[in-house]
Amino acid sequence: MDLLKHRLEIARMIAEELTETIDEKDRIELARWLEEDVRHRVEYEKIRESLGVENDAWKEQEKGRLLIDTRWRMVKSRTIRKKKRWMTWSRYAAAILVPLCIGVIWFMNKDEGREVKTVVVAEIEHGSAKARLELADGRKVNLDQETCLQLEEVDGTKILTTDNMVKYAGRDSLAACSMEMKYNTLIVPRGGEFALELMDGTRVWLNAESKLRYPVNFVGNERRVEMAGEVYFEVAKNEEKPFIVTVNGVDICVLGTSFNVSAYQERVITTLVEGRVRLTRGNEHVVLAPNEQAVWSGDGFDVRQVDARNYVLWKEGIFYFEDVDLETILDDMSRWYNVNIFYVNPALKVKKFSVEIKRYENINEILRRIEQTKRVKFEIKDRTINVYE
Amino acid sequence: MGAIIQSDKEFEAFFRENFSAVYAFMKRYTQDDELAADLAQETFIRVFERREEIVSVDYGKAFLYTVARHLYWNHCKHQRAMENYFAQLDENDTDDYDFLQEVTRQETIRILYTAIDQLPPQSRRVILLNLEGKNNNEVAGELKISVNTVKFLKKSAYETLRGLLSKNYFFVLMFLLGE
Repeated sequence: MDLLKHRLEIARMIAEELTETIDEKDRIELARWLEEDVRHRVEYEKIRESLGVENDAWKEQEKGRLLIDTRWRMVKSRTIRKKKRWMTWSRYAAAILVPLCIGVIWFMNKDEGREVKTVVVAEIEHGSAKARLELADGRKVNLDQETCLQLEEVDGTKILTTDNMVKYAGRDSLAACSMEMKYNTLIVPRGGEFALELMDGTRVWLNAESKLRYPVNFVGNERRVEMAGEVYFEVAKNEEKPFIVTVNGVDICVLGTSFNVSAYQERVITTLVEGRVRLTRGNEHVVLAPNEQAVWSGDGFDVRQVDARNYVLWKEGIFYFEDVDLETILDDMSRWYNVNIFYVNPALKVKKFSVEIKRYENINEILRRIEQTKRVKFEIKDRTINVYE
Repeated sequence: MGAIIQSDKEFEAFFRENFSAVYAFMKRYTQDDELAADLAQETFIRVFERREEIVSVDYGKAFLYTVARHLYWNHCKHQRAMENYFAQLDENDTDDYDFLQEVTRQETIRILYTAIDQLPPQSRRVILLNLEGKNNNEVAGELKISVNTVKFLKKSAYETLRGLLSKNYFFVLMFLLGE
């Protein structure tokens, strides 16, 4: 339970940090915790993001607070009262009526509760084209399959959003042209995916729970973008201006090529389909040839041979896993179907499975296929998938 | 170290402090208001049975969420006999990342909520907008007050929050409930 206790400490520190009431010692400890694991940073970001008015957790706790008084009465009658009841009983036999009344009230309350309760089983839907575009002036635009918009950036650049894609199309005049770099960000939530064509013609596909920050116009002698999550790039050739992807401190430098980057965790997995890429992190670097995959796992690059096509099938609407651990498979599922995963036995996470299925298929289909191996069982309870043996 | 939940008042304080977070935790897994409230309620009843073991506030919370996790799972097994579930409470189960993440999130929000709720209305609005990521100018625009007023309200709010957060809320509640 030490791990859990430590987490409770971390929660307090985050709350204090957000309200600027944290002391120096805790600030250092919190920074160390965030540095430790990229998942911690993701968690922290999620908490920050969820603090808006729309936030669910906030609302849920508010609902919970409204229930405190009624629920306390029920808990009291089954804990403290129970104890007292016995004492009263033994002393005054006549008081027998009191607990009886309490019992009746409690029973009535309980019944009332049951009447209201209608369990709605939410249909779990597969993901779809969804994203949010953040413009340089802070405007935020929500996009989905039907969105068809023409926007204009501050520097006059035209942005078209149509057919599940954001497209940058030049400016009308050069008058507004400035040398200052303006950035846009495309954010794809859980249960979403989206495509993008940058100003230089580079095409990009973002998988669920991913993010790309890029300049509206590539000024200077390089084309640099930042990403999180999973993104597939088809970089337009321009030998004078290398294209650089920054992710978790790793720089992926290319001239013109196609490759996939998956970085949901601290690891950065780069898979090259064609062309050449050069990866740099600090003093370490490695060059990839087609069908090679480099994994950065904190202390160095590991390169191995793969069939690169399998790693970009997601953008063709296919889930493909070959001898992959259950946790990785289900993490992917949870992002695409926007569900939670609950491991009854965490040891199941490392079991390996192979499976291929369409992304636009019902989630039951993939779970059923994995279950057929008889090594694991699933149970769907609303938006949670329970995993057990 | 002695148990921290000895009197009824102490148990009530523990309940009032943590109920909404446990409720939200259950809600995330069950997606059902009524069921979440029932399971959260049950969690406290179970913890009460073992209150002598709770020797610190931190331990109490960790224990609470561990019981919550097991109750959720027991519920899923369709009210399978509840025998021995305390025996299953072992540490290895709590390394489930998703579980740890959810507890951290609920706790952070609970602490923020409890503290911010103590602020006067205008300061509370300023702090909430601030947490949403808005800067002083944006906050001023939204609330139609001057930037200086925003700065002033923020400063006094942070002072109040500092006082609130530095104390453990459990003891503040004990005090509020009185003897």
